[in-house]
Amino acid sequence: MVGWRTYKKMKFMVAVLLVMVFYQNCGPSFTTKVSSQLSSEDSLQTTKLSLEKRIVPLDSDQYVNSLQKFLVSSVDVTSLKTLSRPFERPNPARFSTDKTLVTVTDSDIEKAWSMAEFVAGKVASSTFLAKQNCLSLGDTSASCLNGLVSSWSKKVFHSNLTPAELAIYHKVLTDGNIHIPSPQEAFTGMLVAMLMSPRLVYRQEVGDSTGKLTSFEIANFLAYTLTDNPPDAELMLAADNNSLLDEVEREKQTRRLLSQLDTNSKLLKFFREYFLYSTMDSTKDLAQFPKFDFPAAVKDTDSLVQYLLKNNSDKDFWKQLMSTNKISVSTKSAPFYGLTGTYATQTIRDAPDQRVGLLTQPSWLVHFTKDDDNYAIGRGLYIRESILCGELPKREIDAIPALPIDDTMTLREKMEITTSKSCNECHAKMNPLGLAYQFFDHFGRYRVTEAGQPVDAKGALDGTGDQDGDFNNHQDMMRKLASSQTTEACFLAHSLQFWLGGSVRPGLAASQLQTYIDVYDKNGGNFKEVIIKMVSSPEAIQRVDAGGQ
Amino acid sequence: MSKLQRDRRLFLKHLGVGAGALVFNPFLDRLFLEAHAQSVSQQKLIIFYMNAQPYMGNPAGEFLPKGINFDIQQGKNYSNATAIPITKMVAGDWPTLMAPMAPFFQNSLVVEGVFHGAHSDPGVVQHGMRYAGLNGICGLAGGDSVAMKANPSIPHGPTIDQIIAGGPSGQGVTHSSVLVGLANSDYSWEKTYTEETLACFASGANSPVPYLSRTRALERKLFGQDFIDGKNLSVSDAGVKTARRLRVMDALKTDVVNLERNISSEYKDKLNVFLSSLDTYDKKKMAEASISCKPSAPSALAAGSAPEDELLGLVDGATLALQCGLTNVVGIGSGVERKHSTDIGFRRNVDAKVNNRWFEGVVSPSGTDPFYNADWNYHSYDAAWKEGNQRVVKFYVSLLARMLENLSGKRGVMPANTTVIFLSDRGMSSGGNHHGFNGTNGRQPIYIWSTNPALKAQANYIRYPTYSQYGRWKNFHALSDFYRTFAMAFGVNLPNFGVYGGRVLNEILS
Repeated sequence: MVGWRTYKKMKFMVAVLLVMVFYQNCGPSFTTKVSSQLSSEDSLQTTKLSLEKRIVPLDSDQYVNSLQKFLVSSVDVTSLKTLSRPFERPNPARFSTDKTLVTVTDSDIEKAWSMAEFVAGKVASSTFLAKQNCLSLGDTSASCLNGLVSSWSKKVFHSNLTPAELAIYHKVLTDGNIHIPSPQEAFTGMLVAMLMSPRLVYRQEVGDSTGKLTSFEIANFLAYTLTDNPPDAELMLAADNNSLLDEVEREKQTRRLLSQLDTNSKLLKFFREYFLYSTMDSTKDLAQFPKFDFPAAVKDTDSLVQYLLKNNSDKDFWKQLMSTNKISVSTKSAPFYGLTGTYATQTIRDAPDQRVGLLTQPSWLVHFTKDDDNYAIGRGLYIRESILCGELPKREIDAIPALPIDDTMTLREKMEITTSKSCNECHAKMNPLGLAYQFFDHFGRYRVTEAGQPVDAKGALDGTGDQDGDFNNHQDMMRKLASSQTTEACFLAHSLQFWLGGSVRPGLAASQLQTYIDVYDKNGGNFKEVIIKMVSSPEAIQRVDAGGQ
Repeated sequence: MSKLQRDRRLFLKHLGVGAGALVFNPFLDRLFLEAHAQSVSQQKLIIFYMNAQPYMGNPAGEFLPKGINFDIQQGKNYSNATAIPITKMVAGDWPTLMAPMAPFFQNSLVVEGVFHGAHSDPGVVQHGMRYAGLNGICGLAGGDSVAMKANPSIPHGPTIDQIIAGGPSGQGVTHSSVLVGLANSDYSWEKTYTEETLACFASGANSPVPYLSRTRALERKLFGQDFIDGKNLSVSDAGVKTARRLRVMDALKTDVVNLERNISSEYKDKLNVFLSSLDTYDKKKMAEASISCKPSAPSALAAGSAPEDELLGLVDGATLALQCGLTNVVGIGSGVERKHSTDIGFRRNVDAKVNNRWFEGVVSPSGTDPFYNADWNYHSYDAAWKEGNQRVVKFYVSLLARMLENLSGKRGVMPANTTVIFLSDRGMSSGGNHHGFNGTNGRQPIYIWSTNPALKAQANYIRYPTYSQYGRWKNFHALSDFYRTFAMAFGVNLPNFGVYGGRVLNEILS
């Protein structure tokens, strides 16, 4: 049994390791900070979250959602969705919300401009056709123009701009002459400028003179963080009233937004990105499994996550994720599980084939496969880094020997070449974890033999501190991982990283994490309570100068 | 903020006249799109004409090269061309008022004493602004139409734009010129003169091109359409989008600057990446439009803009027209008038319609106009007036320098195939008014900068004796002579043109 003090310190170190991985490009100064904290007993106490003043680029979903809300015609919405999406991050450093590494590319600007032109044109056209603003009625008075700029800037930016800031868009509207070539064109230009503005592309978290986010910054922060959408009317009303400066109101708004999201795209986005199950790099020979349908596998996992969120998010959620024996199945995916028959919709049922938790979902398994075999090293590396928050020793690799091509050999036998002295220091931390899944083939189907031999999925788990030890198969290992407080802390650390973006300050993240571990524990493993705490607490809306405390 | 915008703001800042707004106009796209089809290698001419009331004039000495001690010797017969002295200027001779053009000093030629308003009665030098004589034919209402009257046997000479654009057969290249200018005046007749002068400047009396005093008018000329009411507009979609892109781009860049104020360098870097991507996008779009012309950003002119902004916008638009090959002759005139009556008092260079914003900030220390009933000679030249006058002139000269730099792409480098004529104010230095300026009305300096090898534009100063100084009117050198000579420099041999002159000013030819 691990003592409480040891447990706390262990969790701290886990988080530190996570942060070290996360900030491995931050330079040696960070290592110094971490060492300093490890030697300080005080550092084990809870430290408040500390976020830098920052501008946060919208991701693709957020930008498109922000533009889409201006379209009233479903045809136009469909057309918008056919345009190339800007700000997509196919290979984020870890999460799409990791803002520290995101920069706008030339391609982003081109795509965003096309979208902005499209939306602005549609809005201007419908507005003028319906004569919905003063300019469309022929009024070019100063009050009309000022009102247009002011009202539209608020619709687009969801904040009140200063006169100097408004002047920028006023100028676009009135440059040269409001009649050149037409008032509608002038209005269109103003909208394009707003929809392309860095003020929209980058959400501001700068705060007032004390670093506390302004009411509108909070509204944008909550809305985009929780929903990937701009603030809705209720949130804007709260922003206008300055009530979002009050923690009770923020929590209320956060709960409201989360409650609307039982099939939450943002929650789902987190799980997709954390478990990496929605993408597949390998090419499969469908002659081996004609009914293989990867999108159906992803849909199964999405459905299972949504089921767990709906039914189990308030109690030991992490454990449920890692050890559930439920699956979600459809007609297309039934063959993955050795099932037959038809399913009208995604159906939740007990797994028929020894599956335990999300890491035995076909989608996750297939993500970590090669064209013709499992990718046990990849699976092991993922678990080491993303489930255990561990890391590999940093070693230069001279050459990577290819695994033998021999249908009579099991993958474990082929991977023997990775256990030489020079390789084993790293592979010992990956291979046992990855080989635990050998009861599944590279299509994610359960099996009992491999290369004509009984499957050997035995191994030993280390790095949990509280659940280390031998396991017989993936079920054993998954249950150990599910029960580990280390993996639970690691999950919450990743949550913190996802929900608050990547600029949690190095050196402080470990102690910050303790706050959320406490919330999670106090609420019986309620994941949504942790999210609420993460985004609505006073620390969540406080920003500090870069490099400051 | 875009580089272009910064440039313009710096430009204005250095002049001390304040920063105006930089904007883009839809007509630019048309310029861009049409430009690539035009030749830009032909000769280009810029004529900058400043028309000021006497109050506003600067004494000739303010305009003339310093340190040159030459003066007309009384009684000497200067009808012999060899007696006309040519002085090599050195940089130190350059007049302070012309300082913005100092970088182009080595390509300059200053001609003084070419008379423009002769009459049989030396005391009658009417209001007519005889620089219109540069087109060889224009006489102005209210002025002396005799002095520059064309030889009756040559009813219509080629105009300058024809000469420059078309060479000897220039008659076929009519009215490609762009004439821009402001005519701010409280006196309607003075304003009319200014407008007429500008209209005649490059196009001739028989088919004058209205001068363009607003950007919209410039657009109308370039597009051939009336944009004022927005009707019947047929600018291409691509043109509209390009113009929109330019406007939006400027807004975005300005907004980036605003956002950068409160964030750390790490995030500023991200915004710089955003800016860089914007620039890349802009360049790509430029390339897609097959734009071979890369002009600087023009300014804009919403109604009610400060006059200096309006003029700057017009000048930038005119620069574009030159740069993109839409025209090869640009005439820019500015009528800076002041009503010489006491009811206006001491407004300086005021356009009453724009609420005293014309180079505001310089006011007379006095509260009344002591000059109206005075002797009309150098009377309004107290220190405050002088500062205002010089600021105005310096602004105009700066516009010229800006044009040349934009055309050449380099500071201080004279663009190839380009000639500039700067005509200083017609007030004290030009003697355009008959009110007692006999002592100075012959000393109108003409500044020429040129890469034309036929002109002696290599830091030379030529002073002709003048009618008014010695009464030798039969031998004076007139603008009609200059016009004829100038045409020759561009390969056009005109016959004896004016009725008073008729000689070729060989001194200005290489």
